[in-house]
Amino acid sequence: MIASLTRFFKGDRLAIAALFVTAAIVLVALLAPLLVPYDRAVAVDTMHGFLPPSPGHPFGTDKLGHDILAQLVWGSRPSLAVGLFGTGLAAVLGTAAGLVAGFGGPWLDAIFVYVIDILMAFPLLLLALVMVAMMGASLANIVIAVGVSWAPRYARLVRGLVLELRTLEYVQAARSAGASTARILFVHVLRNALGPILVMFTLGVASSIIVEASLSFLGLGPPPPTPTWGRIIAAGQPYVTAAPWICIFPGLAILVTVLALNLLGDGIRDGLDPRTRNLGRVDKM
Amino acid sequence: MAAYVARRLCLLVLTLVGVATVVFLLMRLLPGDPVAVILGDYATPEAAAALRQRLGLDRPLWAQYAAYLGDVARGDFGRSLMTNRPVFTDVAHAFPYTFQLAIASIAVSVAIGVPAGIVSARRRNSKLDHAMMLVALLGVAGPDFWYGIMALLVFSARLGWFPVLGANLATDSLTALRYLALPSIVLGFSMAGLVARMTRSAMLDVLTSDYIRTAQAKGLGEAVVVLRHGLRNALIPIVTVVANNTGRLLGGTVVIEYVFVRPGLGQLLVTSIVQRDYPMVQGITLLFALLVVLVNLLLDLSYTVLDPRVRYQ
Repeated sequence: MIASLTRFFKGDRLAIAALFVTAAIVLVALLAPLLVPYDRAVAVDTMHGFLPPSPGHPFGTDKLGHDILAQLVWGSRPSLAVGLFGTGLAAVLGTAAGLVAGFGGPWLDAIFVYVIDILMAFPLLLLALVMVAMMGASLANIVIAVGVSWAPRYARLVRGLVLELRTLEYVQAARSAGASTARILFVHVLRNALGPILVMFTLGVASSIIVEASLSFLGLGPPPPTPTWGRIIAAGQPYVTAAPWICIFPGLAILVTVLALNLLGDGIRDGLDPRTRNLGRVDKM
Repeated sequence: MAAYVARRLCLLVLTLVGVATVVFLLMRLLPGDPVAVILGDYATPEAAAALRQRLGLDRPLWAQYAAYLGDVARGDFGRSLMTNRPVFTDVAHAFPYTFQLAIASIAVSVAIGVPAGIVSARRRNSKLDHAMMLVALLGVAGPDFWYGIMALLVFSARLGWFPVLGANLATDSLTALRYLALPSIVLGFSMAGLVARMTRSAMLDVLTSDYIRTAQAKGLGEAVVVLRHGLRNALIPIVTVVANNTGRLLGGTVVIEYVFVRPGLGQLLVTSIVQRDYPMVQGITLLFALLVVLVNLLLDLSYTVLDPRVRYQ
């Protein structure tokens, strides 16, 4: 397995490490109930508030005596849920819209470009923020808000790929051989567009995790008591000089997760790109 | 060129109508009754009916839309539900804080990112290159608000180099600058990562071209070749990446202003959301989108200056 990974990533050890870090974080989120009982993560114990890191509490405790490490383990769940499902929703919506625009003729395409240009004028965080504010802060609404905010970026990517791919000879050959539009779309175009869509998905998950953390930090995240990384930081901010560990560790959790996803995305892009065939350390750009 | 600008300005009007429509739909069509949300526990039927009428929500949707477009076109963004002041007044008061932060952050990101990208490209695949690109990625990957808190902890609380919070207390421009410094360094650092990565890749493209080899063969100095021949031609992608990230930058100002308690648009937006100040949220959202659209227009026009070969028909 390692050998085929090394081959795919063309010896880019940073990307392989990023893949393992990402897998580990996903495992932590999936196995959270086995790692730390939920009760322990949300248990209030004000007698033991503001404890600095120690063997009993490796990342210390917050004002209410929550164990920060236990909160981080459970906080990985809303982060990854928003990252994966929000970006997944964006990928589905955006890919569908992009395919329709790319194949729907000039009028449909012109309308599509107009709508995308308008939606792209809204800063990602702002669009998600206003949508969550209007719909109410729940995990499902945040997933929807992130998905809808990200979808135009996907739609634009897929439309561009369709316009490029449909002029290629093998697509024209399939068309003259009598293949239906649906078959051309799904078999010939979508399959060849999967690489860039996958790269964008990885980067989208990373960006969505930052958006979720920012929403949580601003008080518009998934409701308590479920801990989120952003809300732990917000709760710790007033005490940051006296008890900096409350803010430091959740921030590092976000940083490591997003960094790993970005490096993984870069690695997949280089791995899929036939122009970067050189072995050994691959130039990152 | 004049014809092109005229056409772009017509398109701009069309885009702005679209932007205003999206904001209208965002505010009206999402689930939940805004009146119930605004009034909360105070929602007696009389109060609800009165507020509905004041907000114009008792009229049919198309009439609301037409009235809203007319108001926006005349620069009337309604009144704040909290202060009853015109939204325009409060937004105009907050705007300079955000504008200064955005401009200073761009300056910091270019001042760090461009030199870092050039050095990385010149020393391609060296240890220094890899280290700098990793730092650039750190800037992009970390949440802005967390970097803000960490910077406050280290540079303000521990080292005492910068004032802690409260840019609104500044009375003269020198004090204002001291309050501006740390937030713009934080936001600039996170943008610098993008600028550095783009500068590096643009310079790599340019530095391998024939005219660079010719310039070197003529015996021109290293600095002249890299800066005048190299950077001059790498400017378009660099300017593009800065402009294309206006949205990201504005999103960053929202959280950074919140962390640094800086009374700009982002801070106003978050407060308005918490207070359910509907017209205020609408006005700020419109302004942010308007800024992005304008920057994109300026970007397209700047290409003719940056690259004389670009001619618009």
